[in-house]
Amino acid sequence: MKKIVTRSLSLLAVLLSAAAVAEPQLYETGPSEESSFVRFVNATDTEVTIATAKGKEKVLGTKPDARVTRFFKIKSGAKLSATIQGSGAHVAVDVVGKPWEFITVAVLPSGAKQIKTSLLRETPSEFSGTRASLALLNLDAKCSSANLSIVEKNATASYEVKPLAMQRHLTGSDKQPGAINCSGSATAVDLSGLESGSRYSLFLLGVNNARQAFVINDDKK
Amino acid sequence: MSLLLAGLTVLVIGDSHMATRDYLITTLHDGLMQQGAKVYSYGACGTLSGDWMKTTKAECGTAFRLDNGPLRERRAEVAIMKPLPDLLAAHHPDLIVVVNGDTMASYKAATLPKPWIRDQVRTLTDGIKASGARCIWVGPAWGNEGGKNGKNFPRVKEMSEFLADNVSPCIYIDSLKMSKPGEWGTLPDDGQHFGKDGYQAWGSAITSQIISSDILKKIKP
Repeated sequence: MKKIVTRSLSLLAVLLSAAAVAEPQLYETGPSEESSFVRFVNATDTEVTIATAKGKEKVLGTKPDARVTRFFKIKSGAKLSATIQGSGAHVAVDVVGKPWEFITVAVLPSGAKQIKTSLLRETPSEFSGTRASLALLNLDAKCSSANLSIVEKNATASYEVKPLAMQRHLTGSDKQPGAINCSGSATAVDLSGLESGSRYSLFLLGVNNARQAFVINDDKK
Repeated sequence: MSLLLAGLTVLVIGDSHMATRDYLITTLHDGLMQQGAKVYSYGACGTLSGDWMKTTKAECGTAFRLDNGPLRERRAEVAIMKPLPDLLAAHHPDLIVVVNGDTMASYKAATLPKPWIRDQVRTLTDGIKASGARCIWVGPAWGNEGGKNGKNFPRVKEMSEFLADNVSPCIYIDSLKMSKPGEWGTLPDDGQHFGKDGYQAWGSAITSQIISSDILKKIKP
């Protein structure tokens, strides 16, 4: 009995000591809802127009900076429906994202005059404030394996990406030239603008039987 | 008194751990002052990192302390927080200390919302970078498992590791190394906020880390 009383008093003393500090009101931690992120990339040789139920139509051109939208935040699990209009053809696409998933909707040529879409999904786990993050997205159906090596002092980031797929690695932000290899054919890429802490996508496209590669900052607003 | 800290102006900003008397706004502020620094402390309960770049209302109160002046607390109804640019213009700090982590850890969610946290952190670190001030980021402490916030050891460890990789250019101070899990007692049904002894231990440990930090050697003329 004496032990029980002693323990109770000790517990009371701990509680009183803790309660001697004024209590703040508690609050939920983290975001109010889980999100996903969607962007569109034009991998055709003509302009395409993206229309969604909400927001203005977006026209994606054929110059590198004009080919890719920024990532748009949508509620995780909710459906985003879009209609994509190319030259003389259109296609509808529905996108539903998992929590914190990044989805790239690639608009691709289909035969001579049609267009089609392909979704490339990524739920990134690695983030760094001191290294650059670079994804390689192979949107050239004729490149069976897009290979890229970025050599650093102590490590090499190696990419081997099948058509309509992507890989991402952390890498240094050293200014250096690079090349994507597809079956012995090299396409030069400019990696000189990578900054530590930022995230990028390197797109490989096959347009009019010619390959082109360009880098986009994924953080652009 | 620290020869490295003496004469420097330090701005401390943080979440609920900095927004109540006898919390870090008392113990860390006192600790830094005792080392000879001029200290300005601002706490805003429930705030996310990115909130510091705008004028917003703190969910559960604010507090501030200007050097050796008295602590002022504001209830939630009138708790408008001053954004970092205003604080920089008012105090011209040599060093900014950020105390933030718990509010973004999503303790009850299945996964850590890394993209969202990164966005919050970058919003603040970009502001700090632009100011030219040096920066130290103090991560979350262990606390205790359970409570209304659902705090748990695996998630706080994951959160701390994520912050360590992503708060550049700030130097990260890992609070988890300052105690064992559950060592510092927390308020009843809370898990996150400590009693007086806990905040005393945490404030002293942070002060010790700061005065031993390499960053002080860089910013001291």
